Amino acid sequence: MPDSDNESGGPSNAEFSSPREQDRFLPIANVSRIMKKALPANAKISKDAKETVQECVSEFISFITGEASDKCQREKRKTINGDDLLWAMTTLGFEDYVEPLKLYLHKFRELEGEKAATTSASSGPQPPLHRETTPSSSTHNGAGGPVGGYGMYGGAGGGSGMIMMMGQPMYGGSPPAASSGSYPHHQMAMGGKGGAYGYGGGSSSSPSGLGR
Amino acid sequence: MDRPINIRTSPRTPLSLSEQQTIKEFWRKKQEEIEAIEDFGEHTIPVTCLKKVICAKKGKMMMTSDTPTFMTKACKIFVQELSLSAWMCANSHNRSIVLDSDIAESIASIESYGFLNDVLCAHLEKYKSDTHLQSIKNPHHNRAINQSPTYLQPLSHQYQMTQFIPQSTRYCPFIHIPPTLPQTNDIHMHLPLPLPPITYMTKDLVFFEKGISNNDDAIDLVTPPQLLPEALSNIPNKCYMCNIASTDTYCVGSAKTCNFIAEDGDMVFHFPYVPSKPFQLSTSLPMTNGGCSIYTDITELNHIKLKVTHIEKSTYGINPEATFNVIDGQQHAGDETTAANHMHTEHGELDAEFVTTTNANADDNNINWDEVDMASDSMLMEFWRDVMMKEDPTSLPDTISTNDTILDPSDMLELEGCCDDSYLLDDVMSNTSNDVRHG
Repeated sequence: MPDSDNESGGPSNAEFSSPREQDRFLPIANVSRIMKKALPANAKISKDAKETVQECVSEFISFITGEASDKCQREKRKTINGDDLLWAMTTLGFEDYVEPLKLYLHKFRELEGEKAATTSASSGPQPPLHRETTPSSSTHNGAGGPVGGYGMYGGAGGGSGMIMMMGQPMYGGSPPAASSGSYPHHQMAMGGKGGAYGYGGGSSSSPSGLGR
Repeated sequence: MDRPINIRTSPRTPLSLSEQQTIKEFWRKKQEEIEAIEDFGEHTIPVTCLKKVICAKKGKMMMTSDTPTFMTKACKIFVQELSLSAWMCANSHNRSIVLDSDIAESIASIESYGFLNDVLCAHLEKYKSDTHLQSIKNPHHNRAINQSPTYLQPLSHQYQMTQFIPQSTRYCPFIHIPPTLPQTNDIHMHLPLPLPPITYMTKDLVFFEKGISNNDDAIDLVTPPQLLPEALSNIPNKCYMCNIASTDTYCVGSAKTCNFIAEDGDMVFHFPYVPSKPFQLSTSLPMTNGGCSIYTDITELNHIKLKVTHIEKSTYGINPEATFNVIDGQQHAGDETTAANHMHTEHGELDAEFVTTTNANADDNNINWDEVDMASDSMLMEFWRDVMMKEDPTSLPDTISTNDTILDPSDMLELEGCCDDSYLLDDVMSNTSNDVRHG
């Protein structure tokens, strides 16, 4: 299942892989905000300092992911995961980062595992076309229907859960993303919305599961 | 496919005890923050941007769903650690502003940040281009300040309206005036022109309430302004003032109005020649002086002329008419008290005229002697005051004064010599009309 998710994510990555000057760095506003959180209120940060940190953090990302990618290639794997990143940081001398990030990754996987369990309990994956129509189905479910229909929509809700797992990262990135209006991006946005509805669908599917 | 790892080892700068403690506290906080995390939906760094950075160098790359989340957190910790270290460098230099030199210094002080040395060198080389990019990325947006226009408060015309209403209120009572009275109002309005309108209106109200008092008040109001400017020639001024007063008094009677209008016409003929009278007086001629005295007598007694004519007629004509006139006077006084009908009002005013003229006649004799001797303004004022005092007593003294007038044969003779037959005829006709109306 994770492999299929990665395959579906591939085109999106290709879509956003166009090399542009502004894509080499993270937004300076976000970097500046993170810097201020670590400093006292009376601290001031010069523009040059912000730009320097912006470049450094981008280099940090390339540094870590490059090392992880090299490890995957040596092991004949195509997909980078969190463990590879942890290994890379240890190798590159960021031992202090490993303890907090290991805890972070563990908690993330716990939540992911809970969602995956809920999704698997309801039903399996659905065709992409059907997934696109899930939000309207959820809406109809909210309007209220017969008992049988309720069970059917519960299943659809489960499908939304699947989309939710896929779209969760996109949902977080959709607001500030530079929308190009392409089909894949639109699908991604729809996935995000589906995730929002899917959560409700997941909760509604529980009673139907018990009914069954 | 192994990429050479450019890890440069630089000697680690020993940190102070407080700085080491700060760093330990930083990592402890990070551990606590991560333990407290319950929601992975909120990302400090956009995942889309993060993916673009990851793919910028290595190109297309597959990763699990946890990779962007992991990297977002790692970047956050990296930025905060670097910022905190730079802040400590700035404090060591006694500055509260973090500069890029502080960033470089902190990078040099941390062994694991050796890979950033190339970045710093590149940053220095691209200083201008980066500045240009930043200026493009972050354009300075001037906020447009929308000022709400301030409307001036409109001027209130309430004050003018307030002034207008009282005037209309003052005019309202006059709307109820009988149709014949407006003529009187018009005549009255001409004389006291120099006086303020409000005062005039007040006097009119008094006029309708009390006839006798109003006559005296009107005379007093008119006389003083015209007396003072022409103080040199007393006799002619007095004559003309009497004329004006008489005009006010005798305008009411409808039947008598014709007769007195003629007299007024004569007086008006004299009135324009006021300036010439002093000159004539200055040319002392026996006949002229006599004429002046005659004028004085005639004009001063103009009020009494009618009444004297009545007495004269009663004396030389029918005695019952004289008695009848006396009775009519008493009855008119009663009518005046009620003042119910317009005709009664006219009769009442006639009685008032009778009383006024009688008193004037009595006082006139005394004042004439005084004027001949002294000829001063104060005497004229005393004259008018005496007239006012005479008005206060009841009607009985008036009748006595009438008798006094009759007992003066010299005055009667003079009047007989001066009066014209036309005046006598007019008086007879007016008396006849009065009798008929009274019946």
